[in-house]
Amino acid sequence: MEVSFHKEIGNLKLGQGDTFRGEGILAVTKALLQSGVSYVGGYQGAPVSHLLDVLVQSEDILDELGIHLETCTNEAAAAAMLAASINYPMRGCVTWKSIVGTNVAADALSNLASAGVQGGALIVVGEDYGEGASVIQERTHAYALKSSIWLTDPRPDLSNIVRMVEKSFELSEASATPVMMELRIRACHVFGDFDAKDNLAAAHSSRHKLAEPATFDYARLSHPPATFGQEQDKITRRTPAAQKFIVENGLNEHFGPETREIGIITQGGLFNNLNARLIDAGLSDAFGNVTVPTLVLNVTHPLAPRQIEEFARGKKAVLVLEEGAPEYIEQAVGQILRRADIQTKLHGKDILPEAGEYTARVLGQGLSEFLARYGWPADGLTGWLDQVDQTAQQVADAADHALPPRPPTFCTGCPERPVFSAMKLVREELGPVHVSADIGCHALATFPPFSQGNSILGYGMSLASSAAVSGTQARRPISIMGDGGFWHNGLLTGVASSVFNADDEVLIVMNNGYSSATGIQDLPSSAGGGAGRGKQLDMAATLKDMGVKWVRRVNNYKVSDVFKTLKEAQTTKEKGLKVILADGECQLARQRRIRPQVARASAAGERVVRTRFWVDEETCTGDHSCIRLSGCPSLTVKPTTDPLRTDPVAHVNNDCVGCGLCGEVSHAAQLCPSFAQIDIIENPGRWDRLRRRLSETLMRLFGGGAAAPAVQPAE
Amino acid sequence: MTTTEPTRLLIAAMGGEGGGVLAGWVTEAALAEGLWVQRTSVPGVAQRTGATTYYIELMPRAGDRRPVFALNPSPGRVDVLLATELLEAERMVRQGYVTPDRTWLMASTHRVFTVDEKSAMSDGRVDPEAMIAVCERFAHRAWLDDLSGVAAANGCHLNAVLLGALAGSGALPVSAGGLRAAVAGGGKAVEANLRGFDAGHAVLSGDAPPRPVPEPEPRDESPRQHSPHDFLPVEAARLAEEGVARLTDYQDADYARLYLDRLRRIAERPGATDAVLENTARHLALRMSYEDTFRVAQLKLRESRLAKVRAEARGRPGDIIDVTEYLKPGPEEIFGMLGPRMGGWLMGVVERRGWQDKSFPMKLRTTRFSGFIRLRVLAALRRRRRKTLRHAQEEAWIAHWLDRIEAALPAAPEAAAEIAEAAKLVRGYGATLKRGLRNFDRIDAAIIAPGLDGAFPPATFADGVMQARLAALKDPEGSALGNMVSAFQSAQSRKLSA
Repeated sequence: MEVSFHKEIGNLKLGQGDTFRGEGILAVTKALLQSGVSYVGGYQGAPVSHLLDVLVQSEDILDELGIHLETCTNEAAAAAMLAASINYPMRGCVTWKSIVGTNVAADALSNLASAGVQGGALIVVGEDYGEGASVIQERTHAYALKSSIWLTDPRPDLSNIVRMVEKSFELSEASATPVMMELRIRACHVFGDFDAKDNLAAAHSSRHKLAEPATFDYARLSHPPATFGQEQDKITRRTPAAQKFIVENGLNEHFGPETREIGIITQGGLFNNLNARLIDAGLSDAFGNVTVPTLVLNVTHPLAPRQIEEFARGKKAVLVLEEGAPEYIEQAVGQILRRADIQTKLHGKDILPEAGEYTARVLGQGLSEFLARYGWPADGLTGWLDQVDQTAQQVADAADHALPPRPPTFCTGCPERPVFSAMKLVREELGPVHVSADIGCHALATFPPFSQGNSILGYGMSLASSAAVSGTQARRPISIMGDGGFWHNGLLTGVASSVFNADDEVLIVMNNGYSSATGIQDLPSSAGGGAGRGKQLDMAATLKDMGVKWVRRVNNYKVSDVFKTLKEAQTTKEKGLKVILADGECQLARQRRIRPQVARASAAGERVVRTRFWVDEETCTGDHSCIRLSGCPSLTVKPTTDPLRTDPVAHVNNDCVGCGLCGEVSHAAQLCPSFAQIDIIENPGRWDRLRRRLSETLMRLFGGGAAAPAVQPAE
Repeated sequence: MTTTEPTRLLIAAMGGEGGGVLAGWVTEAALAEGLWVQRTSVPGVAQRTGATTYYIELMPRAGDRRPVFALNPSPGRVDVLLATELLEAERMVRQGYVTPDRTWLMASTHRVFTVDEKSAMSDGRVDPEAMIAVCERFAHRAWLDDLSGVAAANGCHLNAVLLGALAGSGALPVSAGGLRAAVAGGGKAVEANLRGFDAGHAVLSGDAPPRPVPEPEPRDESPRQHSPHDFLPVEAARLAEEGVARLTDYQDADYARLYLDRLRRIAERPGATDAVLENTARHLALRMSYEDTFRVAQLKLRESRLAKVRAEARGRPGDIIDVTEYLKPGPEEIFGMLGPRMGGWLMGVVERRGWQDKSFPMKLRTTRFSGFIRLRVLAALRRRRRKTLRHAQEEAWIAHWLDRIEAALPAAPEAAAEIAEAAKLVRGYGATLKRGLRNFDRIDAAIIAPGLDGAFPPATFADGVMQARLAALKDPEGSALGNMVSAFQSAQSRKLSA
């Protein structure tokens, strides 16, 4: 795993009277323990990966509290896990990245929500929206609406987030409905503190097992005719119960004076940024003492009509602050006001943009317009906006050079990069082919210098998305998938379907041993051992059992082999699915594992060979073909020292981990003779030294003289 | 309502650079001194070497009332901006986070080139001076220095140096001692990080001695034989001196004399401007020292090169360093070493059989005798270079190119300078060399030949050759050049028919 949670695990053990300090998502984990959950599960994904990661490393806590932990193979599995709360009074929580994870989970979610729950069921979703997001920009809110799942969006203060976790379980139980908590990226990563409570062991758990299963109760099945009654129950019983609970427990917060002519209704998650702009407008201070009535919706679905009515009544206008499209909350507020015949003017996405993140400037502009319309002075805010625009103009005038973007790239020594180098070389030889990309680190090949991929349809979906292309194109399409995507979804939606339909196409599975992009979690095929959860499931055997006849394994770093295998897959007469298992351990994980080992061995006087690559600047002519085939962060450029040349030369910096790609690429592409491998033999043995002396003597005989880099003299 | 404002700190970094650790140190120090503090970030996939930011708000405690800190930075509302790299510093300026009214900008001026910059076919680097100027102009106070150098000198990561600088600046309501204590309590590489912290701190608190200005390397001013100063302007003569030195080393004094004779021929043409002579002096030397197998072998046995390897390898005393060369000569490289008749016949066979792409991958260990001796023999064979097929081909190309330059003089000196500069396209090995030759031929046929026939005015001629050269350096597939050439041709034919 990428992060070690040694310190954080200590945090999870805190009790009454202690102060928890840490990230938002770990505060949620702690709140789960304080809420007496019986089980936790989920699928990793930024920004919620840490919720599970920390628990995976907290065996003693899980054991002590009797919590069953499941690292699910996908979000559908995670959602289905909540079925335990349908029949049993057990609290459970699952987590994933949304919107994508919720999409995958949707089937199980619908069935779960229809049946309803006895034990509190909480789904913590990382709302991957706006800056830093890596997925399509949609709202989880839609799922809450259509399935009647309650949605919370807590004001991002750790105490409030923790309170909302605890209250979500109660809300879920009071209304027999699962609750979703939506946490934005920065809320997950916000570092703050709250007053801890003791952890609570559940009545039913892996320590206190239920002796008998639930008795048969047809009404708990999402199956007709029970489903018709369940649909009615959502509306007639569960919704009103939830609304009552929300109001009675003060889940939503009212800040500022009770009555003023205007008011703001905001999603809880946006409150802090709203406050920053209200400070500019002179309507709040650093402590959130707002002077405009503000209703903070920690629960964004369902709304409690009475609460909205009371807030809006007597005001000239309210502004609904709601990020993303469509404007579900604004629509709901509008309907409430209309039905209650309240003539308060409603603003929201008429003055704020319909789509896109509510950044500081966007929010400031909307707020400023709202205040201006109702005659509220906001000179400070408009002054700030003018200043922002003015600075932007001045910067644009002063900086006339283009500023290149810096998207993420494969790490130094990444085992996936050589596969894309080989693909680029095959493309040069056989012509372009349709490439279906997937979710995972390999999606970084869509950026320069590889710039490839025709579609991304979801995690593990690449092969399935090639289906119709394979039958309608002269050259076989290539689908890229990671081992993460393979186990998540690709095996069934992709491989089984392709074999079943006898599609003629190529699949490359990046077997790097982990779910790397999400933080290096173990997969079913991971090596396991030690603290790992991997079970070494064999992908090649699985594929063969599923009827794939053409399966090849390649060592990714041997670019020429990958090149040949790819070419064969593209040109062989053999029809059907051809799968290349591209082996190479995630370099980030590998370095983390071997670096301390090597350092220890070196310090202990053992013979250690350290390898790195080097560019001979005397033979480099500054064309940078090597960089266009690699893009490795450690392969860069530096000014030439040649007085006759002007272009910078290629250069390998000291971050090089010696993966060998540069040398392999220069071979495979027949680039240039400038790459050299440097092996540094630390603590050389007697044989090393003898061989070196022998070579030196011979070389001197043939005019080499001092030319050989001898054993470094002691300084 | 109070008017107290938090102090806002934004850190711009690249994923994996330790920006998160830096933000962690600030948080720890602020907590230890009893401040309210909140930190947020957007790591996600940006962790993988992409541009990312970390944002901190902090405020001294006054009573128990907890402040409401923003989760996102706001333009024009950042008090301190730390950047681990120059381009990322400017990116923050562009986004409005650095403003003259308040922002204390501390950034490292070293560059980590973006993929766009380093994969360009010639020089795609953004001008650092322009970036520094933008940063300095919009910061309230700016301190820009090569922190990566300081970090390297102290054997630590750059983030510790930056934290030290932050401590020295006094820009935060956290004491320098508190920040240093956070590093000390960090648990990882503490000693190195403290060294880095102290170095950064010393620079900004004014305790550091001024950094020595490196003395310029002494130039060899001794007069050389056949001084090109007799017939060339200063800059061209300087380049020609470099050319003479290179070609003497490359082949012999005779060969260097041939270089000067060729330059003199151009210099004596009426209309030979400084630009024509500089470009010709530069590229003639480069083309005459084309990188053949002998040259590569010669360069790879240089002692100066091995000194560089040693410095790069960072070996400890007693370590043995092995160097393995990745070579892969193709038929051109191998048969090019033979005489024109034999080599030409063999290349004919290669072409008939379609073996042009065959090549021989080799890994030669030059630090072992077996590898060394093979290169030694090849390097020695360079004495018969002027009798080889490759040399005949290069000579033919050079002769054609020089004729073109000459022919453009005196009527179109600007075009002549551009033709001379277009030789830049021809360089490298294997596919790169073939692409360069192909591109030059294309420009030669489409623009230079009609230009010399007077098909268009001299200014159009020169501009066409220049645009074509730049286009050829846009993409390796040659599509930009293709577009440029057809646009040029259709523009010319329109003019003709008009």
